[in-house]
Formats: sequence, C-alpha cells, structure tokens
Amino acid sequence: MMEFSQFVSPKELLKIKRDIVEEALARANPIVALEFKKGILLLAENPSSTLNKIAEIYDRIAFAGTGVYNDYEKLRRAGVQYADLKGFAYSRKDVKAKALASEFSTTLGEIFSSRLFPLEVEILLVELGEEDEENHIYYIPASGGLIEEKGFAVIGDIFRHPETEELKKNVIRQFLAKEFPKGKLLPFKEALRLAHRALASAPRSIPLSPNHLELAILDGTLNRERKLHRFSREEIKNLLSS
Amino acid sequence: MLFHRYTGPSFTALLKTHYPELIPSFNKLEVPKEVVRSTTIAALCYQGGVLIAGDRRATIDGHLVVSEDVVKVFKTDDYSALAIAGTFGPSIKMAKLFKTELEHYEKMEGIPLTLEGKANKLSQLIEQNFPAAVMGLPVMPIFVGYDLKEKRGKIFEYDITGGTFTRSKQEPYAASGSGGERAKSTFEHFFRDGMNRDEAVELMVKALSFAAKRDAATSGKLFLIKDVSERGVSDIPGYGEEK
Repeated sequence: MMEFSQFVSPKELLKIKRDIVEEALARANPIVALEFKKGILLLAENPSSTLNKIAEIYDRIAFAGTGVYNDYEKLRRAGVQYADLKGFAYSRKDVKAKALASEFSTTLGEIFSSRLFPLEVEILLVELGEEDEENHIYYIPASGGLIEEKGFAVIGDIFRHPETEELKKNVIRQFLAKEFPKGKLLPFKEALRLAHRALASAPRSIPLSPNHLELAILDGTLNRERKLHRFSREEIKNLLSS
Repeated sequence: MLFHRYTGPSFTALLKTHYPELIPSFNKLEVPKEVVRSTTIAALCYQGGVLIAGDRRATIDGHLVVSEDVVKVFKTDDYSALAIAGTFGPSIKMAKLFKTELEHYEKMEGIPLTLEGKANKLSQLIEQNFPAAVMGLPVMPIFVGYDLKEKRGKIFEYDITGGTFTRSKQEPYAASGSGGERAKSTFEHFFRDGMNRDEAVELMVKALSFAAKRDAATSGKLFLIKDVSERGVSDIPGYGEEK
C-alpha cells in the first residue's frame, strides 16, 4: 500500500498550487494587451467565437481572462456586478479600474491561500484614460498579486514546448520587451500587427490561425460613453491582411 | 469577497437580493401633496424610425413651476429611449434603474435583450411601483425602440399597473402626462402614413405646442426630442439638447 505523509509544509503546498495553475495556463491560450494612440487593444488567441475571453466591464474598463473558463467567467461576472452597482449607487465617473483590480487581487489571494484548489486563471484589467498617459493596465495572477504594467501586458504566457515537453514562461513578454517602441505609441493598425506577431512568437505545434483570434479595443475616439469596440472575425482578417 | 450569491443577469434582482436599500421605495410613507411632477411626453413613428419627446417643465400641483430645465427623455441603450411623465423623483430613478438593467443584462449575457424583452422588463418595474402609484406617486412612461430585424420603430405605452400597450402600425403615436390628450388629438388630426423624419419633427413640435397652449403644467418654450433609428439614438438639434 502506498504511504501518504500527513504533513505538507506550507511552502510545499504553495508550490503544489502554483504548479496546478501553471499546468492549466500552459493548456490555455495567451492574451496580449497593448496601448496605442488614443486606445488600448486586447488580442486573444481563441478558437471559439462565442466563448469570449475579452469583455466589457464598464465605460472605459475592459477585462481579459485566460485559464479555466468557468473560473475567469465567474470573476468577469462579479466584476460587471461590482462596476454596475458602483455606477448606479454613485456616478459613472466613480467606477475605476484600480478599486476593482484590488478586489480581484484580494479575492484571488484569499482563494489561493485558503482553498485546496486555487482558481486556475490569470486576469488583465485595463482602463482607458482621458489622455494616453492616464491609461492603466493591471495584471492579476491566480495567487492574488497586483501588478501595474506600462505599454503592454501578457497573460497565459506559459507554454509546453511541442517536442521537449518543457514548460517555457514569458516568451511573448520577452518578444514585446524587445519590439515594443519606447517613448511613443503606435497607431492602431501597427499596434495590432505587433500584438499579432507577439502571439505568433509563442512555441506551438500548429501555426496561429487568423480564424482563432478575438480582438476588442477601448477606443478613445468613439463618441459614446461605452468605449469598448469588438471586431468580428472577418474584420480581424481584413485588418491583418491589409 | 467580490462574489455575490446572486449571479443571474438581472440588475434589479441583484439589488433586491443584496442591496434592498438601493431600490426606490415609498411604500410605507404618507405622501404629501406637494410633490414635483413632470408633464407632457409623446412619441411618433416615421418611415425608418421613431421620435420621442417631452417638454422641460416640472411643477408642483400643475401651477407652481419648479424648473424649466428638467429632462424627461432618456436614451436607454443604442436603439431605445424612454420618456416619463408623473412624479419626478421616482420617474428619474426608474429611468436610471432601467438603463442600468439593460446595460447589465447585455454585459452579463454578452448579447442585448430584444426590444420586446426590454419593454417587458420595464413593465415589471412599473408594476413594482404600483403601491406608490396608488398613494399618489404615479410613474407613466412611454418606451420606444428601433427593431433592427423588422426595420421599423415601435412604441410601447403603459398604465400604472404595468399593463403594456403596443401601438399599432396604423396609429403609431402615443402621448401621456397632463398635456397628453391634446398632443394625442394633434397626432390624430395630422398624422400621415410614410412621413419622413423632418415632417415627423414638425408634427411633434406642433403636438407639444398645442399641449402647452392650454396646459399650464407644460412649457411651450423648450422641448427635448430624440430620434431612434438604424443610426442609433440622437438629439434633434434646435429644440434644446440634453445636458
């Protein structure tokens, strides 16, 4: 009979939980957020056209999540509830990404430390500012940290190498750290092409298909309160080929 | 914790389950006579869309003018709008709750409600206000929307119990509030099938002006007219825009 040891040290437990999350993320698809002139784009690799990974939270706030669908979907729905409650009880301008990002971080942190099974996700929360300098990108890992990124951010950036079976981390992040221009923002189309190249740079067994992309942007030039604009698959293909 | 026990798509249900203090309720109060009321509102279909409008006056008892600058017409989403006559406070709150409800549903489910679905949701909100209406705080909305499938505007009228009346294609107009009867008569006299937008705007202004002429609670100076069509919801300029 197999012997189980009764005691698992907290350190070991954390490692086990981290491994669970990393395994899940290695199976999931990556998402890139990238600032451009007067906007922020979110580009996800997503074979499904109905199960979205990118979503609207509020007027200027968008959400992206990857990992296990029901886990990030649960967080997204809670985020929409939080934002709409705040906007209803106070005013539309009082709904800010920072407060919600902090709620996500607290919730994920509590679940990670108190439950046997963590939520197997990584989350991005992006907020479009009135000016380009006022944009915010928040990255929240499953263990509950909260990191503010500038210019670009990536989630689901863990891959199992098709041949060696090795886990590789931060592939896309390293690509963008090299390629993302410093000191100035690109126009939308160029930014989209860069994001696309970044996604394609990940190790994969089959090449990235334009039919497997989900794209939405927070567009500062839109003349309406709600700034999130979603592109159809057809539009994405045209944008990338023109 | 960020999570609520209620995870469905309805914002009203979310409030009821977790934040009942945020739902407007006057049910247990004696209502004083001096509440602020807003008056004439109207809607009118034309070829390719629908107009919804109201004057800008709010009064106490119909003769004491409290404001000449209130907004009774609201864009509720990209293809629908709402005008409310009746008690000012609850009607503004209902418009805000309704707008949030539509947006919340769209975000939670990833797809907007159909026009009939929206009209039905509004009927439920009015029904919930019924005890207050009986006590003297009625809310009387007109709801319009552009049906993207049928490619035409539609008008929904309500009574204080939430009863919904869909205006027919033959008589696609409605009016409510203290000057509503005169506005309706104007439509009945001058409405023609197949009017374009400019003609409809002209008729709408005529109807509101006739209402204002005899009804002291309705102002003839400023109107707010919104156009709902395939292009979305926009203000008709020149009659006073929403702030």
